Amino acid sequence: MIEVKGLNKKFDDFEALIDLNLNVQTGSIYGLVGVNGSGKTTLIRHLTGVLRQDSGSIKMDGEDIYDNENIKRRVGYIPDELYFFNSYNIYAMSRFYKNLYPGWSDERYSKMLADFSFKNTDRLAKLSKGMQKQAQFILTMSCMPDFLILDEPIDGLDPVVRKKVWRYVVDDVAERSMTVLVSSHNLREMEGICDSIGILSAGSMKLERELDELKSDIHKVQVAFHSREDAERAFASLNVLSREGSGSVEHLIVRGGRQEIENHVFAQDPIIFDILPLSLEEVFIYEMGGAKDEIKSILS
Amino acid sequence: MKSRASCLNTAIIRENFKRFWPITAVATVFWFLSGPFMMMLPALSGVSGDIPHLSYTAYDVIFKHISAGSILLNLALPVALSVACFGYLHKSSSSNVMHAVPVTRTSLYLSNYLSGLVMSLIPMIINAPLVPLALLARANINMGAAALLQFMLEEFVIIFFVYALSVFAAMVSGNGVIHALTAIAFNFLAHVMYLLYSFHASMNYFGYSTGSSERDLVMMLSPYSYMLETEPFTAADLAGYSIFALLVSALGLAVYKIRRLERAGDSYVFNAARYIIGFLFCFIASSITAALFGNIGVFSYVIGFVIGYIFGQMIVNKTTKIFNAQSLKAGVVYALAIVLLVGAVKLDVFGYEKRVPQASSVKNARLYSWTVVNYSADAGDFSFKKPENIALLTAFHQEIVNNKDNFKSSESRYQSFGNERTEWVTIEYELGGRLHMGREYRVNAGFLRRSEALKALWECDESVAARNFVANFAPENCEIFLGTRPFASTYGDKDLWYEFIPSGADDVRAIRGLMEALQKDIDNFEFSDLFDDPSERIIDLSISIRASRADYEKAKAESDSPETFDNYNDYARMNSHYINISLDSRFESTIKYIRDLNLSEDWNKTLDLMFKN
Repeated sequence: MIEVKGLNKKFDDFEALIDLNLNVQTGSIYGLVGVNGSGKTTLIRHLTGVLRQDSGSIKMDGEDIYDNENIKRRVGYIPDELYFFNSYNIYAMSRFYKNLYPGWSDERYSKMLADFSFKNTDRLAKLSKGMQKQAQFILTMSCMPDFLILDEPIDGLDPVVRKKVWRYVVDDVAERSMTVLVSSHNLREMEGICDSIGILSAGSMKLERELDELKSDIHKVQVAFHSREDAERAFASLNVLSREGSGSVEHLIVRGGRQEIENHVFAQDPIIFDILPLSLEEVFIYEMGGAKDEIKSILS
Repeated sequence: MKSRASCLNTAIIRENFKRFWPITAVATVFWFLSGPFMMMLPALSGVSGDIPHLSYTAYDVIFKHISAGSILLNLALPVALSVACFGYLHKSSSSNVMHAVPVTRTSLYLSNYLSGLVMSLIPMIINAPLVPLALLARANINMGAAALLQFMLEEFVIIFFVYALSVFAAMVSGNGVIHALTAIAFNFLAHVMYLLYSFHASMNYFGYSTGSSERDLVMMLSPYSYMLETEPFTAADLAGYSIFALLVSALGLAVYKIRRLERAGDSYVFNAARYIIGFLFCFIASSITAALFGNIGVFSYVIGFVIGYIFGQMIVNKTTKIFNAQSLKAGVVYALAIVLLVGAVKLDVFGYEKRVPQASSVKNARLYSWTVVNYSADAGDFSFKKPENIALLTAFHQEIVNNKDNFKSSESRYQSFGNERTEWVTIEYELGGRLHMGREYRVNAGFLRRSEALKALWECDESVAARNFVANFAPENCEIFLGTRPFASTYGDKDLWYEFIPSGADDVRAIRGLMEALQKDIDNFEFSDLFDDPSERIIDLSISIRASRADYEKAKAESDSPETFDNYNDYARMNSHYINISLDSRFESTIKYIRDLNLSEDWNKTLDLMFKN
């Protein structure tokens, strides 16, 4: 489990992180979403023990991460800016990782090397940015980490490779209860992968929820009543976030449990009633009080 | 994996060696070529094995006379390896990755530190054992194990010291370029600051001389500079430098732990550095332009200040947009600081000009003056040791200080000083330990003639004894050279010279006679005679006094490396003293003696031409 409480960090006069809290359950995938400059990378550099917080605590399985060799041996990290030793090929780099991480698996390394069509002799500096990212992924996953921290991991990867990457991640979460935190500036990428989502804005955590909980709490309702009075009676008892009409048919976004909504609507004998699926982006728009620029940005 | 027995991480060390071995390999070859190979080269090509200007330590042989390249390497290699091993600190990407791996800050620091240090030492460790072989082949000198060990120990300390400072520079700098510059600056900043001080002091202080302890202290600050000045280091020197290097290394670790990694790639890591760098740029640039364009007064400082300010601010801020309120505020503070520093020197706030030591605190003292002590015989080694004579010298010194205003025109090094003859007077005091004090004045000859203290010094027993050539030097150890000056009035306008070499009894007799005649003339001089205007008709007489065999035996017995004293002739040549005297018409006995020797027809006619009238 990753637990961050009251994290603060200032760069000179700039407040990069403000009283930030974050919880990632063991064996889950947590999506950290925010626009550029919202503090994602700074938070991740704290989570990997690179930076030291001004105040607050960062714990992994109950232990502080900063300068903690034991817990860092269990953490895999793919940074946004990659770094390999000059003139090293992937095999030489793998020996370095093998010497540092006790969980290193040669078997995993060989399998991934073949899977991603790499050769041991591939010189890392000569690879494209996307290929370098794959190489880093192979190296990091071969360490068999208990915690995996990914900073914009699929930027520059083609869809086929993205799929492979996520497959490895999801398999490890399922098989080894690996705990994953992945950052992205694009909310759509996180849909279908993450168990929980945190939205970071200007150094603060604006919202942190499990996806299932999010989706079960907001519903899109299509409904038509015999009279306007029936409609108003039904809507008065609901927590309506948004209402749009098209003739006698109304489209509502309603917060609340599905059963509760059905009870209130059926009490007024509707002509049409349907509960439609909501996309993740729609959930966030309404959760955060409308489609502000920032939300638009992470949905684009 | 981390070694459980220490804070070192073998994986980090191994990777450093794998990545940076070419630097060490190139340095090893360079060391070999510029050291042992260069020494052996003449021997390999069958040339004589004599080493010119041979000094009696292997260290001197290699580093002061043979291999300037190795001296450079002692600086360049530790700096280069510190930049290589700690380069990960200076880029955001490498800093992130290296600090995310499971290695503590302490372990990361120590592992990188150790790998860089070992790689810095390897070229020396491989090549040093070849030095005795090279010495043997080149000059048939048996260096011995003790001398080799001493040499290696000194090398180790120098490299360790430079490396420790270079690593510390890595901790406080933000990028690789600034790191390399800072590493060099840390090794020489004190020397540069001393040079600047020396420049300002020489422009402003009456009597300023570099012959004081400050210069020695500055040179002693680093073994790298001290090695160029001194005999082999003492055990205390080695211990002192090693302890300092250890402390700097420990401080480096402490700084590393509080270093803000988010500053990777910036020029500086700690905010104070921006002001220090900014100030140094302004101060150094303004001092340089003041030296170059001093004749335009205060504007010479202003020009340099503006240049230094612009460059300094661009470097620390990594932008050309430097004219903002914060930078300008800093500029005002730098300007005020420079005004204060230069003003303090100009106004002599620290009392430099008035300082004359108490005679009781002086162990011995020297006085150099062309006119007054030129005839003191042992070539600069003569010093006053008796308290009463030291008191006379401090009294004379005090007279100069009290008359400062009278020498103003003659003190200026850039102006003519009228018709009156002036003369440089240098005074040096040994104050015990390594402390000494020196002053250099340009004073009027009339002042010297009137000085009772100086007259008493000239006539004191120590001066008289020092001028006694005949008693002090055996003629068989003396060579005397006579020569006319170019454009002198010689017979037939020829340049004449004659050399007396003590190769036989007749030669020794001639030299003894010449020295006795010279002694007679000098003994006849009164103090006031010294200030007679010198004649333009002069013959140069130079006495070269070789070290005696007794001196050689004594030095050999007292040396830590007696095996290097295997050749008296070399020792004697290297330890000669010289006395130079200008013979004018007042040296009647000497000129008569030379004429009586009947050196040649040209000499006789020239002596007649120059001195008969």
